[in-house]
Amino acid sequence: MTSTRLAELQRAIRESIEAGTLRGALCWEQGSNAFRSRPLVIRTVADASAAIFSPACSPSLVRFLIEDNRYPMSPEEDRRPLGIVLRGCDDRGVIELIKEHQKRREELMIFGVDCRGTVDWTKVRKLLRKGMLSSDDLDHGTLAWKEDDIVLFTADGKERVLDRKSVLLDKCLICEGHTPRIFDVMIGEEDKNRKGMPVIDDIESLERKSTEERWEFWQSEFSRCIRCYACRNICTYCSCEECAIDPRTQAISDKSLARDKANRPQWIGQDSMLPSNTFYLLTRAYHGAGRCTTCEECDRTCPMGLSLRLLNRKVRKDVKRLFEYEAGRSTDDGPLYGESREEDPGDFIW
Amino acid sequence: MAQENEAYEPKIIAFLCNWCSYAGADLAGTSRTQYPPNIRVIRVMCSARVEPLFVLKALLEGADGVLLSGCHIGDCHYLKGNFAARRRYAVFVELMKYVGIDPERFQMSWVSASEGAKFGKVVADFVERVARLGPRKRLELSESLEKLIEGGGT
Repeated sequence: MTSTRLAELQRAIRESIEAGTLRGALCWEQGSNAFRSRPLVIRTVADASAAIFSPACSPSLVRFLIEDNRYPMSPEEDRRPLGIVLRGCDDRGVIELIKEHQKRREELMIFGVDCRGTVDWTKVRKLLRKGMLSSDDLDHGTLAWKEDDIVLFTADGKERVLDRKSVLLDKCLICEGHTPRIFDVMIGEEDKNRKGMPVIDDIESLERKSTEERWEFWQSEFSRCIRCYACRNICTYCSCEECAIDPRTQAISDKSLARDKANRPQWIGQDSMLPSNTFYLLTRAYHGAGRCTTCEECDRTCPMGLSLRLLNRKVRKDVKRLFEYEAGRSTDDGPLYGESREEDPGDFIW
Repeated sequence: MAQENEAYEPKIIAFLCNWCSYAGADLAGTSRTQYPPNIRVIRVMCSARVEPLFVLKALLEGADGVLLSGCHIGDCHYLKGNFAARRRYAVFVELMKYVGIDPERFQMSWVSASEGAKFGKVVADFVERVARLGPRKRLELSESLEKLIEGGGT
């Protein structure tokens, strides 16, 4: 089933490139092993045959639209649309980018695909350590979907169904819909039973704890942060070139004018001590209010395994509760802080 | 120890909006309203100018509490500024609570230019609350340095 879908996807991309309607297309290619993939920019017809679409395709491609604004993937005078392959959970990110005028809808050609869950590399590594997967599986196996099952075709030609819970990303276990809401071309069937936004309930147990316990928890999380900025670099709402919480991106040096130094304070040092990390992670979480689509790419890319999704889910939950606003719902919504109402909550103010 | 507590005077940063609260503080002064001298006033053009970044930075750099004051809803000099501030801090206060860095150390208030007495009361109440909490610990750089030295580095 999946191999015909992949052929269909490759053909659709190849045809658009051949017809000259696209300046390129974003897809995935096989990574260092069967469970990993990396983003691929398809520019020529020949490139399209390297494209894959399998449970190994866990990275979101949406961030590369921001990268395309900064470092265009084709000469700037080329105004043709850019193709992008979207799964069901990626459409919120694209909707946010359209809302924030990072991309216009007509600048994009969206290939919708039917995704049934992608693997979490951390979980795969655990299985490897326990011996439930072998390095042979990684090097010579292939992953595919069979309806909702994740199937590993091993080197000796056997088929093995993997347990969804022990290999898939947590966000895939609460998937709200297999195909995106916005698309130009749909590869396969459109998912008619989309459930709306994903359910967020795993923060409630943390919310119920006492202030002390919560600080204990977050202290242990924040102090592990090494401030590599991977979470920011993969993020679909962190599109600022000059980041307020990253001194390295600020155009201020010893030789800058006093005026510039005064007008652009350095908010935070480069150390990775607890206070600075708290400052960094809280500010980033807060900047996602009404913008974070909880795609959980930060959580996936964090090399220290911080539970960043618990922060983002909290902000998302509060924004929904307080203002009935959700990021990535529709391109017709205004920005969260751009609209305000008389009856907004204000009981915390004296 | 008890003596130390008695001598403890909290440091509080107060961001006051130019059009209402700063004038309100001025009125409190000219009308000789008594209030504790623990606040350090920073005048800003609007309460919406104060990003949560400012609040965190103040706490990080040694303030024990942060007070943010602006015009009453509907009285904003820039029409919608305090609406935006109210939305922002509704989210931010919840986030502070969730993470567990004393949301008690942050207070927002609406004080108009004619409310000198209210300004005095807001400051007195807030200073009393922060004094009860004691010096802030949770964003102390020196503390985590000490921890790092004790632990022999990480």
